[in-house]
Amino acid sequence: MTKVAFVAPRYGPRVIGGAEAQVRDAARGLAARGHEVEVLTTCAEDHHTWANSLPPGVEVEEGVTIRRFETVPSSDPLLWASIERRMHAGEKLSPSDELAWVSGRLMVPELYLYLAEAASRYDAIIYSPYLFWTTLYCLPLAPEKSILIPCLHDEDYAYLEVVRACLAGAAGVWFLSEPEHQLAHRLAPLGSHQVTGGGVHVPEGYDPDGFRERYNLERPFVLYAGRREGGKGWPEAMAGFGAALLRHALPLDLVTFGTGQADIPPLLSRRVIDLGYLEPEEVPNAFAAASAYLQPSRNESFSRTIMEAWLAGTPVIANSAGAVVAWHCERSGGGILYGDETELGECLRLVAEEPKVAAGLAASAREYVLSNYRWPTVLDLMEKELERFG
Amino acid sequence: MRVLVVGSLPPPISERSRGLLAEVLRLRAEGAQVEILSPRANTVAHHHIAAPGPAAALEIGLAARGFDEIVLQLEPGFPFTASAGRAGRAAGLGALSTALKVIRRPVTLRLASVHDLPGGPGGRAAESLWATAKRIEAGDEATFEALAATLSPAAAQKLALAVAPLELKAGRPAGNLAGGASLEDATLLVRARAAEDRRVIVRGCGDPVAEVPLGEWLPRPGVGVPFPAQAQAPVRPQEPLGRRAGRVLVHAADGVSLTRPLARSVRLARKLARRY
Repeated sequence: MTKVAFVAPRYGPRVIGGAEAQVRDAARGLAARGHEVEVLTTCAEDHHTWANSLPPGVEVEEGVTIRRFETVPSSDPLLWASIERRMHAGEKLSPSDELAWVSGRLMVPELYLYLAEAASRYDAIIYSPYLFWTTLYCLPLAPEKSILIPCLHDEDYAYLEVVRACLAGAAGVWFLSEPEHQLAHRLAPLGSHQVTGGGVHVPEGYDPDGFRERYNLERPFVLYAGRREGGKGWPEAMAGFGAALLRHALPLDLVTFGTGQADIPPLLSRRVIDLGYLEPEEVPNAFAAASAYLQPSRNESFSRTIMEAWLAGTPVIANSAGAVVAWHCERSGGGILYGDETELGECLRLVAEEPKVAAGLAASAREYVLSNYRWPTVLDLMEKELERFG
Repeated sequence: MRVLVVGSLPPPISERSRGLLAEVLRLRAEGAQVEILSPRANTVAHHHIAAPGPAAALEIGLAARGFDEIVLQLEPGFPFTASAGRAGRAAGLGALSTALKVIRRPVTLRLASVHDLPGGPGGRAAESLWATAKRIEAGDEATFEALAATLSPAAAQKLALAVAPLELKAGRPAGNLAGGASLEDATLLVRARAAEDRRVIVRGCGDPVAEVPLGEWLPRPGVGVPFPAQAQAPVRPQEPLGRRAGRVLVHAADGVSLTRPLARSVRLARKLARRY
């Protein structure tokens, strides 16, 4: 059995995000299999402010020891904003600019010092996701025992030299999907690596009718779950939904839950319903109650939510620009892809007018998830990889 | 005991930064509560010095309140910039020794390499700095010898060798090719080795970042940014109107070379006021 540390910028039951959920489930899963697992993380829950909302120190949760360290705010947020603009304008950044950008959102010096002291006590240190100070600064402390679960997206940040150095320098890299793996090969020369896939829990049952009743959802609806923000395509999803309502007079609502401000325009306030944060036990019911799940994000390395939708027998409508989601949809046959607002409108129309056809798509997709992405399968692969480090 | 360590930890991972990291870990192992104030931007630290040159001494003086001891590492760019002449060197060293005298805390001065102090460890300004120290640590034997030969007898009595730099292992080896390797394998290996070379950004010894003068770490508005992005001042939601107007004015002033020093002074003053 190995002694493993996961290093993640945020950790906890109220932290929303695919990478964060992946780390939490993997940590608990490995602990349940007898590995000694620690999580080294920050006191922050909000990835916008990085405020220290939880106390620093050590706690134990479901067999996992969690060590929290306080974040230190950036000394120059204006510099960060200026570099961010230059990066998106296509300018090549200098090494000092790259480091300034990485340090511009949060720094966790106490975590770094702890790892400098304690790295030798662990057999393997698993960092995830790629884009944070906690990974990019700390991984080079002990690269020979570092495993990176990057959760890569094809975005400007992925092309930074500092990211390339971590991808190339880690002793192991674990990918959640084949398109992410291919992207990494385009970014950096890789050492030992493996597509472990992401894991999802299979709920014991669903209560779609109860869910509609509890939340007074009278009309059929499409669902969006997760972070309501520009990077995840939420504003475009609302705009496309609004256009489809006007064009096709659809009898559908758009229901959403998760974190971030939904910022629903007044014109759509009666047709877009924000449920805010849902308790974990209610989440599967939401997926089962939906007529379809809408995935507008192009920045996914696994897309846990589409797996949850397929498990619940719900078809997916997805942005074809997201390579990973498109790959899953094509392999499983459970998702319809749209390339623009017009196609999104037609996808929604199909769901509204041909619900049986839409539901039929999801039937084979449940089997796809069960065969590839159940946690026992993923943990077997992770354990096999960890044998090299033990 | 609370100790303020002034100096640069990684990145980049160099002999100097590993040496200071080892010292920080030693202090923590002894039970000290350590905070790091770095003269170089983007290194691992609790705080970063906002102003280069003699102004940094003022910041160290302010930051030292509430600490029982100071450990201060002299580095290229600190306490005077790499381009400073004799007067700049004297001003930087003089300001620092004055600040250390005023704060009246036990001070350990570190010099990882004699090359880290342009102009050498001798001279009146440097002597006044050595005189403020309770202990002087040299990073290696050559530096120890150079200091022993230069310092006054009183200062030389405080001289000691620093703890050895923390060992950090190299990353994944790039690997070797077998006899019948394809062109693709060879290309991959060449790229892997090139990546290893480039990795100095993060953990390297070539230290390209370290050579950037401290002034270059400041933002340079206008470089490579399209006009609309330059013209748009950063806006923070729910910020009071007066403060927002001030920010926009400072941003505009920073875009004009004539008023840029004024804008930077205002920003620095605000930053120091916020911090202390």
